[in-house]
Amino acid sequence: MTPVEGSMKTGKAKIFASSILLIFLLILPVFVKGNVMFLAILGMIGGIAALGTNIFFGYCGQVNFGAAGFMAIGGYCVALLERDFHTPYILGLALGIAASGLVALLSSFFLLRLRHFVLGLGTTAFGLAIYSMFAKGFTDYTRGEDGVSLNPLHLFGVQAGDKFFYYVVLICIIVCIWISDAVRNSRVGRGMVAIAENEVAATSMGVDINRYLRIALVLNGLLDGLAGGLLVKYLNFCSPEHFSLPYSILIFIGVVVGGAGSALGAAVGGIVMFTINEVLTPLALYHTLTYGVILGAILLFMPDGIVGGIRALAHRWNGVSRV
Amino acid sequence: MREIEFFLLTLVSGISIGSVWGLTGLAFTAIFNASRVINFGGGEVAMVGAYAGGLLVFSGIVPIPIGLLGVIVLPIVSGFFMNRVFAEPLVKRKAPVISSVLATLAAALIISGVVGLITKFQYFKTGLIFGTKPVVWGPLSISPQYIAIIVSVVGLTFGYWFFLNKTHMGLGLQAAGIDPDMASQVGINMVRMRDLAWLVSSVIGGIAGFLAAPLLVASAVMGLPLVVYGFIGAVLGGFGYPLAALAGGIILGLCVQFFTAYVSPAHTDLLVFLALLVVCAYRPTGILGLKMYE
Amino acid sequence: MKKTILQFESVSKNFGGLAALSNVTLSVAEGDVVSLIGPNGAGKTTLLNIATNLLPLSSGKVFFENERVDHLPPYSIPGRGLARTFQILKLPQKLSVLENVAIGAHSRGQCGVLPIILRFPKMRLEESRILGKAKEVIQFVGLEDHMNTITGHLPLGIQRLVEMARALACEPKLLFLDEVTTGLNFHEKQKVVSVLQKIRDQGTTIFIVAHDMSFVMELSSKIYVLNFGKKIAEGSPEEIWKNQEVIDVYLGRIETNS
Repeated sequence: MTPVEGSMKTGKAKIFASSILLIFLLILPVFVKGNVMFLAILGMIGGIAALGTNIFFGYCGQVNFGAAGFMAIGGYCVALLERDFHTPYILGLALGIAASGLVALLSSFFLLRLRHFVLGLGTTAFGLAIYSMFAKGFTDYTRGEDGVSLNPLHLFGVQAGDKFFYYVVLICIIVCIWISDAVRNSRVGRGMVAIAENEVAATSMGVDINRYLRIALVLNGLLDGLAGGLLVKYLNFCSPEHFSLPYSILIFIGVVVGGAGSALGAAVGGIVMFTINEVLTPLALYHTLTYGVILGAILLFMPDGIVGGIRALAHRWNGVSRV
Repeated sequence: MREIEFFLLTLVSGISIGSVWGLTGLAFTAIFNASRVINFGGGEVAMVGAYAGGLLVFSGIVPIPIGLLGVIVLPIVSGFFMNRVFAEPLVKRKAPVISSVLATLAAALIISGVVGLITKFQYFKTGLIFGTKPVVWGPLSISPQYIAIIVSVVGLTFGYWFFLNKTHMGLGLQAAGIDPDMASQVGINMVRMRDLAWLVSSVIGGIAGFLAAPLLVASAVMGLPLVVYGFIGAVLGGFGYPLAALAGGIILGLCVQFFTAYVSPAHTDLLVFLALLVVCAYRPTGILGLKMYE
Repeated sequence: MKKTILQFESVSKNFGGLAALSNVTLSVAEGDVVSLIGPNGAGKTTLLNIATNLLPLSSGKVFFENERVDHLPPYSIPGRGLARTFQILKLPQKLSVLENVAIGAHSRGQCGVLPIILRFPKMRLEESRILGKAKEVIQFVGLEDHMNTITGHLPLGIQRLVEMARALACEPKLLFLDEVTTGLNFHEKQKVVSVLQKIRDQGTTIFIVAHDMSFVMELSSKIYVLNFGKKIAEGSPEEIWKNQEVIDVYLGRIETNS
């Protein structure tokens, strides 16, 4: 679960497994009920958010506990633009993503004076500030905790259903994985990973640290803004509740337990964490406790994250023992 | 209420709540110095202290001395659980620090969850230990609880300083924090040092929670905000130095209380964020200007 | 007459009250192998850090290829043709050798983030060029067998070579080596020496900071000696070998009480 694991191990096994997974995901909607659809969609949205944070943490090694703030910006942009300007969803979503990226860029000028755990604190404060801005400040406009309703998505006059959203989100998450991998396997990605391990070394190799961290944070903002924009349209509701600190931490945990440093791992981690969170919600009082137990178990017993754990299992199955 | 009274009340409440945050910050600075782990559970031990106080001391079920003992022992037990089950195995494994930090979060969630289950996540109003009669001093008329907090904070801080600098164990703890490898080479048992750090941290946190309970509304979820504010206070003061953490917490408390009282309660978080950003951007070693810990 | 590629003019560096370097002047001619020796704490690594702009100097000037470089940001240095290794290895341990060496070629690429995300052909071309260069350099130092091994799994001697390969991937005109043989056994040292000879034969200028006299004598055409931040000698290996002050500094003087 270390932030720096190269994703250059594109063995045949990985491609094979990914294809199987892809086919499974593609035909999933055909034979499952509405509840599972809901979990899958919410999970994948979490996966997208985790992919964003993965670039900042998984690649560059910088902690981000405020990712839900980026989601909030994307989500509220979509919601408020629709409410006040009747902006079509596609345009609203694009603007939401852009706004989130812009906020990331602006805050980077302050946040990037920090590093590592202090940066974790800065991002926490960032997330809290955004949350409270939407929940408590400017409530005349944002309607605070009551939230903003959105119209269901309509395509050519027909109301889009769960299945449609499922495929939209699936395509989005695949695109985001593709983008993340492209970044990772390029000189920019290598530079980011060098920053995570040792800043002095990275500088001496010609990496402009501030520039790359800024790029990483903006990418984080863009992807998480997308996640937020998708979320509010799916739920037809935008409220601060989904963008609070626990959700930021949830996203971050997803990156870490998925197998930080690999895009696929982060996506899986995000999906798993969000799904678990939703599954546990009906448990009400037991929610917090169960969540803590599951998280603790993953951290203690799966040191390489979920993807690493699966990989280890696969290797044991093949009779190969690899470190 | 007259102007001056309002001002003084804001001042005192700022110092008090700031002290609670500062103590929380001090508590996890101790753990951080010993093991580089940032303890998300610092607020949880305070919560346990608060509940222990409420259930054991205020309700009169047990004699007060036993109740007070419970206030100290129960947080220690919680801290021990968090350390031994979650933090220590990961530190031993030399897992990346972030895993240990998340593990403390998991531990915090578990403790919070257990307490929440028992109390059904309801709020818990504890009585005031020193009675409700306000102490009057000039224009100032405040609850004795505030005085109790301030006195206790001073006492705890002094005790902690004394422990760190004047006792054998405390010096060992400092050595362990400065250079763990070197410390273990000279025969300092690192595991025991970490246990010790957690113990001290739990005691301080528990007492902080116990004192704060009548002021803050105690609940199973009070832990996380405490930790966040405590952490922010620690950074503001200068991370890595326990006394700076305390000072930073108090400064933060004053800022928050004055802002809430005189400007706008709704935007307090925004203020905190901006203040943090400004300090970090222009004075990363903290307001007090101490050398930052790496 | 060989061109001067690196020039230090009266460089001084103070840390508070401590003078780490005092008025150091030296020059390195293109294609040469120049060494800087001196006891521990003499200021050798400080000088190196100043040359690569990881530390700002307190006074003086540094010229690379006759251009003033001491005020530039550190990450622009490799782009100019200056590469270095570190005494305490700063190689990302969890990356493969190939990736690590490829990072060295970082400054030789230009693609921004957008072309990378959209996988423009320009980017793919550049990427294959970078990887090709990395593989070439790995072969040059003789590490083909370890190309895909995780760096952290390799012994120190091999990691030193990876670090050198990383520096070479930047196609430097001047290569700084900081204590590159420290901690190596005889066999490993020989390997390093043979690689250095190959680098020198290629025409790259090498600047070595070292302790190990025999290693330095074998390779260098010119030696500078530093003590307490001051230059106390310069010259060819034979001259340095016979220089009394240098001998005193390294071996100490035996006071005879007669």
